[in-house]
Amino acid sequence: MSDPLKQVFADLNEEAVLKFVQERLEAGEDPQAILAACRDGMILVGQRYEAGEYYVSELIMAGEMFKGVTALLPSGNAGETGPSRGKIVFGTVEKDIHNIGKDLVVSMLRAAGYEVTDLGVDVPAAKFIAAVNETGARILGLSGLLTIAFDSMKAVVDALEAAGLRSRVKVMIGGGSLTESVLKFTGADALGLDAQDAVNFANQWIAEQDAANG
Amino acid sequence: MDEMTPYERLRAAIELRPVDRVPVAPKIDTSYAARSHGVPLARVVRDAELGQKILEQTFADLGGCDCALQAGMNDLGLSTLGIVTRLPGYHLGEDELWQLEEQEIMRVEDYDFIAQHSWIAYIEMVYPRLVEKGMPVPVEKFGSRLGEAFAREMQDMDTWEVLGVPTLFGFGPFLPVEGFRFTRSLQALIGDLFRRPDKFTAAAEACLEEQIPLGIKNFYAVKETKKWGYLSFQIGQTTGSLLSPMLFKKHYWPYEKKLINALVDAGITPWLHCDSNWTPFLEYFLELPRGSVVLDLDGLTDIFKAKAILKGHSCISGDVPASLLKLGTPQEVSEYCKKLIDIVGDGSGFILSSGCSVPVDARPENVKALVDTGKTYFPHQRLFLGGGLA
Repeated sequence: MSDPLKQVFADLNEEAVLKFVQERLEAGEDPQAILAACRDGMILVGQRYEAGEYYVSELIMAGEMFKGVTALLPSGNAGETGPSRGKIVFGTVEKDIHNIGKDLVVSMLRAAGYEVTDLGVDVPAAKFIAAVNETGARILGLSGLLTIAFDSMKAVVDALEAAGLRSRVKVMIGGGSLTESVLKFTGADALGLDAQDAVNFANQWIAEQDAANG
Repeated sequence: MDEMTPYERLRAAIELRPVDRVPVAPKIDTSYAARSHGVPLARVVRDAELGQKILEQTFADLGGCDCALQAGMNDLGLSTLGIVTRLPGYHLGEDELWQLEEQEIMRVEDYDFIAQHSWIAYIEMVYPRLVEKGMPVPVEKFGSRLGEAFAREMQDMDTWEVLGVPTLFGFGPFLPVEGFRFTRSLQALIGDLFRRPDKFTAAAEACLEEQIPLGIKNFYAVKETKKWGYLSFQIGQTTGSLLSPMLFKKHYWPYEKKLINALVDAGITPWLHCDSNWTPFLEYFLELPRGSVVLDLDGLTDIFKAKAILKGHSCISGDVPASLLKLGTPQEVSEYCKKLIDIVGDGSGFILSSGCSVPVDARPENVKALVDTGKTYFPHQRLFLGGGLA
């Protein structure tokens, strides 16, 4: 039987979600299980978005609700919890301070079970490389709205190459003015047109990496 | 057909009448103008007169355009919309591009304040919060600096008029969702539309009630001092395209329709700059008065679908993508412009423009290719010479 928390989350019924979470915490339920139900709800939200039933506004609201749920959980359970599906480093590239697209993608990836290191905005290439080295992430997400971000994205991909990391790290890019020609210019692996694309790329790449590792 | 003046050409395109060629109006601002002339961007933020001179020089380099659509950015940034703006020479390096920093300046309780006291009172109340976030004009100088900026814009408009270049009036009304979004942040605003729609509605109605008469009054105050009057206000719209149809129908379109109808009734031509992808919403624009608005698309909306839906109803402007102007070749730009003129220019009602602003790092030869193609390629002219449009 489907978890009612998952259903009310997917229906964006925030009041019911918060009530369920509170009640289940008070009943002593494992916070991980509560979070898992919300993640399942978030996955349903993504599916409804892909089906054209939901729009960006609903993705944003779901992200806001997810933040609200994690704020209710005991400390140590907020954010990255449960078995991670994989590690991802994400940020808005140097000289660009736009955060909306990045924040939306990061919240969708986290809700999908990924452990995301969010480096923030205006992130220089060296910081991305350091974070990839430190976390061992095999997926890197680069966000940027302006055309000046194209050069910064290319600089990150070039820096990955120079650091000998390119062959083991997949790179996705996204942002309002990005097109296929920008993908080619930067040398990244995939261009995401929306937050759900980012989740789909991550799922695909992790599955490929798992298969390659036997 | 006799050669038209830029003003006649624009008016004809907007009113869906025959034109001698498509109007060419790339959205060139002082950032691109300065960068393409090797001037650090901070200099045109500090010195608006210099910015205007470089803009004029850029237009001259291009052999002229049919409309000046963009002005510059000054030390007030977008404070009149309650937005924190990061500016070169203040928060950024001398030659970096200004950017908006979307922060939650507006708080939940401010909806009630706006509903009770109006938007202008909100901006006066909230400006100290922007100063705390780093806006460089001190609170006590906000009013006088705003007055200077307004006077500067009037002076620049005079200059464009002498040069024979139509322009737009920059102190116009805005749509509540758009205004609130930037001062509240997108995430918080969307949350409000779900969580507290009544508060949003009360503030939005009060805001529009104030904005419409004030905008019209300001417009006419300016118009009376000018030879031509001015074409329109530019009205930015981004957030609407991110809303679900349910939210759009409730919280966006009623305000947009009311605002546009009021402006059109007052003889003003709203120039709707549509950032992001408006393709799912194009049919709504059929509800606006025919031949009365410009729908300016930024490259993300399907402009060809827009033409198919709005042909014979509304003028479309756009949409050479920023990525093409930066990464493409002059030939690629020219080919894209020809495609636009062939398809979107068919039957008049088209203005050739950049998608959003010409990007700061666009290749100048690409901008020239846009302008030159627009001025020289016009396969539809024979139709007009043969007796007007079908």
